[in-house]
Amino acid sequence: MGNNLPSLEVRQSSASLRGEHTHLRQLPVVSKYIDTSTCIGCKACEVACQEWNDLRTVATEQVGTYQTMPSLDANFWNLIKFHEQPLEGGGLAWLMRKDQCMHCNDPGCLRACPAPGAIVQYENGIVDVNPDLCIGCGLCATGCPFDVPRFSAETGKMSKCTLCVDRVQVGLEPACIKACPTGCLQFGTKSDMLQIGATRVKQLQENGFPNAALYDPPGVGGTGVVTVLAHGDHPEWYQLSKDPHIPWAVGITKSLLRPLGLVAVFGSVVGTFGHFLGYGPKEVPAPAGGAAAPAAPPTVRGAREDTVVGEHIVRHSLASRLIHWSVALFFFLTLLSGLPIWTPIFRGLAALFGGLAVCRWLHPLTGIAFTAATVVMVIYWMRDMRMKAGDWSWLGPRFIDYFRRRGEDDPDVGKYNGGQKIFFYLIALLAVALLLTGIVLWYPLSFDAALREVSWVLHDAGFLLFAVAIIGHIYLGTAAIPGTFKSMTRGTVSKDYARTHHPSWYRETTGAAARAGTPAAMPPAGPIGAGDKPPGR
Amino acid sequence: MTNGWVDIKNADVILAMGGNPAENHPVGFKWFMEARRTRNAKLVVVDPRFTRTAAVADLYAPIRPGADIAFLLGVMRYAIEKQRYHEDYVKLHTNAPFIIGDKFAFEDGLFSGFDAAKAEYAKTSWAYEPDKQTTGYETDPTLQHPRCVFQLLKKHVDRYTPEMVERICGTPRESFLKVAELVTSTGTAQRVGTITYALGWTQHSTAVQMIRAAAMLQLLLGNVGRPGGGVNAFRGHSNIQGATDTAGTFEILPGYLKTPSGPRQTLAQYYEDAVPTTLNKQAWASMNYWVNYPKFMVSLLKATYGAAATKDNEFGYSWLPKVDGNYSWLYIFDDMYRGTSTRAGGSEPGPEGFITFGMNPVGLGPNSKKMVAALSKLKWMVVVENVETETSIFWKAPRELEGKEPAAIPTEVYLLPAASFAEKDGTFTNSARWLQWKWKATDPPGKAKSDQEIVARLFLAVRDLYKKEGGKLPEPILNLSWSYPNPYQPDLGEVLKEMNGKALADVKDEKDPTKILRTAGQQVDGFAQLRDDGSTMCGNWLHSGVYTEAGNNAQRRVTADPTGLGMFHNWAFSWPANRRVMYNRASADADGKPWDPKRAGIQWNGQKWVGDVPDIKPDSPPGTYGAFIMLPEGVARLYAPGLNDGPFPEHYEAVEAPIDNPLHPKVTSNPVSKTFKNDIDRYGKKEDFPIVCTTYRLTEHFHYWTQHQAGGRLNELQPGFFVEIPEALAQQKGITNGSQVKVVSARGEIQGVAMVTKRLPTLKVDGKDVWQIGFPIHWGFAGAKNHAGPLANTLTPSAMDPNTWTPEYKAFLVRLEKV
Repeated sequence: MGNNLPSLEVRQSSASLRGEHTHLRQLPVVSKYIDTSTCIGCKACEVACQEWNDLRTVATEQVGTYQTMPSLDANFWNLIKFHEQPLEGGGLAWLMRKDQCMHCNDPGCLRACPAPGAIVQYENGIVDVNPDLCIGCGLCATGCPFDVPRFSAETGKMSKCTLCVDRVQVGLEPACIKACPTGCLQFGTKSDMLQIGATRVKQLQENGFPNAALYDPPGVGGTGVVTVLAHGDHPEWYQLSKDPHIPWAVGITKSLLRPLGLVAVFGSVVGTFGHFLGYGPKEVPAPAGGAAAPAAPPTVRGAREDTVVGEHIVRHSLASRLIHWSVALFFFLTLLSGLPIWTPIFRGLAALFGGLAVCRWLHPLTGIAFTAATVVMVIYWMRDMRMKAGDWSWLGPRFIDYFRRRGEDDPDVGKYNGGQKIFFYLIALLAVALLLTGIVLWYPLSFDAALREVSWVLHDAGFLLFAVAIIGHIYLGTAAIPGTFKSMTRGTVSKDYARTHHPSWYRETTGAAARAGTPAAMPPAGPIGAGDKPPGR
Repeated sequence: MTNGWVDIKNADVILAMGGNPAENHPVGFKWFMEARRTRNAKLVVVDPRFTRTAAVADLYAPIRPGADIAFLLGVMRYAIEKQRYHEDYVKLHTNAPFIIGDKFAFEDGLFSGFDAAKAEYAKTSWAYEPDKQTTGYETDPTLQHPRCVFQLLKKHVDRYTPEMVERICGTPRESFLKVAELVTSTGTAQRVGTITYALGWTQHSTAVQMIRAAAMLQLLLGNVGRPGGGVNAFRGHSNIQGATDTAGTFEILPGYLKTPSGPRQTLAQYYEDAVPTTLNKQAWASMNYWVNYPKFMVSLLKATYGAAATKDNEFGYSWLPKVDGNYSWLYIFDDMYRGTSTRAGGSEPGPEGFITFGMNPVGLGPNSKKMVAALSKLKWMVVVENVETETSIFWKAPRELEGKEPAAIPTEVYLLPAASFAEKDGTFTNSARWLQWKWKATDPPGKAKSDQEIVARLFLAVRDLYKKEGGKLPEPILNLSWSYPNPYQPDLGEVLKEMNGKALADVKDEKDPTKILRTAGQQVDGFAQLRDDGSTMCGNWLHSGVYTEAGNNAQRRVTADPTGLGMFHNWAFSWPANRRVMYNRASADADGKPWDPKRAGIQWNGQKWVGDVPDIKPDSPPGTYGAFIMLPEGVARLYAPGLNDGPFPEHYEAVEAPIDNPLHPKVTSNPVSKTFKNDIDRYGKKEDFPIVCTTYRLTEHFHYWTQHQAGGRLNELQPGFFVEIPEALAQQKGITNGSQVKVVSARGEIQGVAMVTKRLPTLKVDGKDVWQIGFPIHWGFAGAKNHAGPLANTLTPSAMDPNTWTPEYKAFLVRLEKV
């Protein structure tokens, strides 16, 4: 809201790569003061907030409470929460607490927000939203320990209390404070508010409220709203959490998965290069007898898989290849539209799609297409992917041997080796997981916070695993195992290729007996994951 | 209010009872919080509901609706028994030493002089004992005489033990004792307490006595007249105080002068009744300020009839209407309903027409069915309003109000669109008696006109008819003074000047006739300059001083406060005489020294009284006059022989009550309270309607007005009618929060959303569990479509206080049903 007001320096900004904090305009941190022990729940603050911020009226209905509505709304940023609390030893407390953005010193929303500059914290501590930059992804809501951010159905943007930054920056108090008739709301520097609060708390303690306390939770570095609670030992009576922290998902995704993921992804790329430099391509050995290289493979459009066409064997029918490339296409669209949301390092990629806001709606759609294509692929290829006895060993030493091009080859490798099969199942599983967690992230407000957090972490972890796997897949399908890529473009492999990497499949398709004289050093199988197709289709 | 809003900050203890100021007066309520914050004042709330005020109180005690007198008399008993009253104050400033005649008696719930046939008291037996030597009355300064007011009071309240209070009020004994202890802690010179109330006291069949009880308690504690003290009524509208000051009801003229009655045909006869005889036996002489009555009356007549009012025609006194009975508005509606008026012997027909200005009787009157039925019998009705109210569309009343088919209703209705408060200037007189000018913010929409223009055009048209056609008694109309520069739209500044009053001839100093106080044509400085010889005019003596030669004092906005007590003498104008605390002479002791030097109201500096505008002759040394100059005794009344229902308050049950009066079961309710006897005026029995019900308002709504705001914000804050129900009762009836319930009284039924709450306690009353429920009044059938709702007053009874004829909206009986 106040993003275009030049006189407030930004302390920190969402999804920024470096600090924008110059300290050139030092300003004291401001804070609201709410004394719940003198609040009468008159709702003048609610109306003042609506009026000043020009928020449209929200339709409500009487459901048996004095509270205006169950919780905050995109068009209702300031809500007094009412609660009837029986007290120990008799008596009743009717508690009223003005709920709004707490303007945390360490704002979880800002940390969670993927849109550069959409959430900023000014030098004076005010946490503000810039609707122009907001992409409406809802991660701020997951990042908020106080359940404050709301999304407007009309604009799709997050909105919340701005602490009337437009008033504050010209020296006025926020509208809610101005309207308060009892003086239970005050405004000023945080240190002043803490002082007033301490005095009031002491007074309350001396007047029958021994547990009175000031609510300024350290878990979020303190808040820009200090609240006097007569029953300070029970913040939950006021619908405040006892010890709020930024949800763990924010830390895991931003501080753990992000650096780890970057290292893993870049590491994988570098690793494949290293592997290539160290081991080189895995060429198919020249056939015994030194026959000339087979002629260019024929066009196999329409040909059935697993049939021999001259010196070639059809490995992938056209349908099979189309499915594979659909999966690949949607994967890359999803990846590229997701990366700028994941970290601002890739913010430039958003331009490919017309900006981050486009990515926000495109990413889930391509994600669905990707998962759908994957599901088709799984059904199409399932028959060839039945695990056999020796396949599980690919989870262990055989993979290492394969990686290091050592050990015995396995003359029983069929159309797919164990590694390929495991990869196949892995990506199928990941695709489904990414879709399910993605749906939660897509419609964050339809799910509860814990599920959102778990989904967020799983989605990030899942896609990183996927990315690393895909890097390996591409390497093996191109540089590492020559001939593999062509199987996915033209659909065929040479008989030599088949004999080398998939001897059992070679025998099945050609009817030939395995040659005894296959060199021992021959790698036992074809590229992991190069899309293949079962026979008989 | 005897004191003012800001003054509440000076209190040590605030008793909020019969009102919910946090809800209904949130802006003024800031001073409650200020007192708590700055001087650690204690806020005590005694209320049937745990209200928004209770939510921020130091102490809350529940009470059954309508049982407040028992509670207050219990506190008085406690104060006397524990010696926690301000003895010096009581001896000095009250009629505690006065001796009452031996004919006074109180037995089995009845005071002496009761006339069962008329259901009225003859008050002669309540009089003071005449002194045999003088024209004054006997007193006993030691307060020991068995018939002195103090001893009679002690005896009267003796029945109100904490156990009896618990039995009647349902207030647990411990809660009552805590309240009593805290409230009576102000019965010293060093401490002060205030009592605030509102419609929770005024709307009972014992309303005036409830307020009397509060005043008596404050007198016992020595809290009247002192900053931080007093008995403070919070008015229900922004200008209800101004309306009352300016003849808001039939029995008073502007400035609380009396409406002449039939037998008083001459001014002299009128004064016999209106001007009290000074009673001078006590230690100090009584100033009896009402001896100045003729000055105010003649000035009012001069303001009314101008040059036509002369000494020879008694300033037009004979043109004033003389009342021949009770013209309180419920009685008018009763006449309307019956089609006949019985006041003057029963031969008169009832009213055939009705003009209502800024009043919505169908919404706010008790027993809505009767309101609708009464209007259905009129020939015509004019409604002056800024919205279409339940009254203006009474012919559309929903089925449950039993209105007739519109075609069968002869009433022709005219709705004149009027400007709202922001569309006109003028003054608001707030609860603190401050006349504050407001400026018009915007023009009225469409053809809407200001009130004064509507009145002026009606008057001028009627006057033209009289001029043309004559009539039975044309003089009151033809002679009415109407000298405004624009007669069709009188400027309200001009009207305010008229109310302030001016000299018509030179006004001389009464002590020194050579000194001219005001020359002819000048605005008077205050009511002290008014005269009874026709040389001054004044529309309302009480407001005199508001518009002087210095200008419109209602417009003053000076925030300087040299007293430090929040008096703000140069902010607006406070009647009377810009005094901020009434009876402030009582804030000082016999020597003129303030009881508490830190909170001095006024004090004697050797030459004159300084501080607030003194409520005593400014240069009269201490000991000259009694502090309560408006009473003929010169002292405040712990015993008040003038009210219609007894010199002492007594606990009577509401007209509809869940128990028989434990003190005197044969006289359960106020024996002189007023009810109507038609079929439609039904009153319920406790056997049929076991639940106590009360009505109230919400901070989010303004009367019946907010419901007209289509798409407005306030409606969203409180979106609709609800019925507050205690948890245990809801459980018993299988009612869940948010479900629909039906509330039925002897007069009708309404339906709404249940609000199940812990804030309504179950009370143990007279040995049995008594439930109480309640609902707000703000809805009706005339609101914006999605904000309409049931009329709360469908259920309320037309039972009335015998002094003010205000209906008992706050305590009646109902039945609750799950829908």
